Amino acid sequence: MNNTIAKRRRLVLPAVLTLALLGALDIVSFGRAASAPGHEASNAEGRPDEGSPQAQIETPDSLGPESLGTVQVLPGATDRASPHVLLQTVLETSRAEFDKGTAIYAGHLESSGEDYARLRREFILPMLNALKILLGNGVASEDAPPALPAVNMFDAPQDSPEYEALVKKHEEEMEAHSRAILLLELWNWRVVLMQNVVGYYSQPPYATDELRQLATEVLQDDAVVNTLVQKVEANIAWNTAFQP
Amino acid sequence: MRLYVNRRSEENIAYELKTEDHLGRAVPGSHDGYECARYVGLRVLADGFGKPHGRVLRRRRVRITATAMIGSDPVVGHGIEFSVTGGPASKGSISPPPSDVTNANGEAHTEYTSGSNGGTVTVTARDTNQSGQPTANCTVEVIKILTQTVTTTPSNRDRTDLGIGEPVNCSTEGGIAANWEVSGGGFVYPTIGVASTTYYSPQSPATPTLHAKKDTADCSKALSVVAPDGLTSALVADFPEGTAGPPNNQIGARSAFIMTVYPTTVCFAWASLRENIPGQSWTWPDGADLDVNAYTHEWATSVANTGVDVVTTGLNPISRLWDGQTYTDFNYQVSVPQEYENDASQWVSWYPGETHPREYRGADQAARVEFVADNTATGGWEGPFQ
Repeated sequence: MNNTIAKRRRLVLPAVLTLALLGALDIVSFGRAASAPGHEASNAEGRPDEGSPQAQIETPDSLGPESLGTVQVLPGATDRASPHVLLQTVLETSRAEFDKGTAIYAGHLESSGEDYARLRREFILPMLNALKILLGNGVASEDAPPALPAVNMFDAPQDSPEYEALVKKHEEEMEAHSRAILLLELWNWRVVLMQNVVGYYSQPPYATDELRQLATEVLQDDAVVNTLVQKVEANIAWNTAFQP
Repeated sequence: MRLYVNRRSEENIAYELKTEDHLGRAVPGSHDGYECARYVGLRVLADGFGKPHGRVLRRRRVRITATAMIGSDPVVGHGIEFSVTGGPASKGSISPPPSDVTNANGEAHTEYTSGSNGGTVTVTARDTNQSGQPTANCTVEVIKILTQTVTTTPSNRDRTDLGIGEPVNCSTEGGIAANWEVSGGGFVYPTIGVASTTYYSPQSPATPTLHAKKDTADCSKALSVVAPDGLTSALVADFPEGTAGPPNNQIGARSAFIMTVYPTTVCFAWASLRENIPGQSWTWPDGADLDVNAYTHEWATSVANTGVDVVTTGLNPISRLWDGQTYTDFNYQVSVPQEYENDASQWVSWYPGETHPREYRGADQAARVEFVADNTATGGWEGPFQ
């Protein structure tokens, strides 16, 4: 069934299916990542992943010897006419990384003070990793949402000479629309990711310097890091707008 | 259940702030350092978006208890003054009077009522009878849901009315992480411990409610998901299929119409639509059969709920209009019922009455096409052609 709904539904595959997909495609691999206590990070096939020396991201000393690991992204996947599966893989890979972060945070939502600060330093890493995957694949920035074109219609006799050309054009538009939905989904996921990273560092204990340091190390994108920090500072200002 | 908040000792007096929700339930928390108190859930109901201006918001209050103790002995008769000492611009307020005297248990009480902003609010208790007027703080997190549609058209991205399948970015004001749920259709992702998520509306009309929860706090926001219910069209241009003679041997017309799906206050670009055209038959004036086979075509609107439909008769021999004596008028209309696909992958009719009439004029053998829905858009007369 070649329709937009079926494609969109595939975007929200459960993580387990996603990982199976990634493993089957052998496109994306992870090194060791920050993981929930007692849960050793593993690759799509459940094997301990030895990682790759390239793009090794070192974590700050405060996190101890555990390393963030590596992320092999798909350079330029959103810039070329990639099959939808590549775009979908980027999305699901990023989501799987983010889910690692929320798995660490889940059950500790009431943590505060230094407990929260310590936890945040741990769970923010896979979340930044998730953002790194999007950045590495050219997902559009928050202020530049991709266009979502229409799929136009035609009403022509099936025996008319132009019918086949109209059908072909229609199929191309369906394809373009499906691709645009994926790109818009990726763009929105980037927005959500940014908002969450910002949200975690908008809560006390405030630690924008720590965010800047970690984000710089993981993302290696000064513009995005600056955006994150600016938004955090704006949120902190919001939460402290009233001071007697 | 004990909510610990802050303990600040001065001259052997320990001060503790306890916070409870509107039902008197203490909210679990943990020690948060010397100066700060702990989170307390506060439920803020509908935030008033889209409602008549000036509507009074329904707000929940938090009961705050300050306890002054010397060891295990309560400090009785001390005046405790409460105030909001930090928070967003609309920070909420302490119910008057803002002060209380500690009772036999060393407790003084007040109530905090949230403002219209979400965010983190600091409430401070000050012992006005003690030297140095020591203080203790507690923090109240006011959870308020903000929504922004993913598509930037329609321009009102804060709207709570959505088209079927339309996604919405949801976040808490001030960036407070919460657990997200939805009832009444659709789903959210991610759900646990996030300040921002996306709500994916169902492919069928619904009245879902979003929830952002943390501890006993439950902030909800009502949404409305609607299916398309109207269709208009306008002529874009005529695109004649042939070249005028003489000699003229063929008849036909081709025009492009721009369609608009209603309501335009929501976006239907995420909906799967189709034309489900039934088989139809007519007879030309010369006795030849004219058949349209049943078929379906899926389509999707732009974010502005528009799409183009090219309607053409195709080219036919001019003799089709000859009834044996003269060229005669002839017309027929193709029925083009519109449907959308729901969550159960069933196609649901939403506009059964769309038609595309074709008209042929015997006098000059010209032809034109029309698009009939909530209005009628008519192409120009075209042909005949070589």
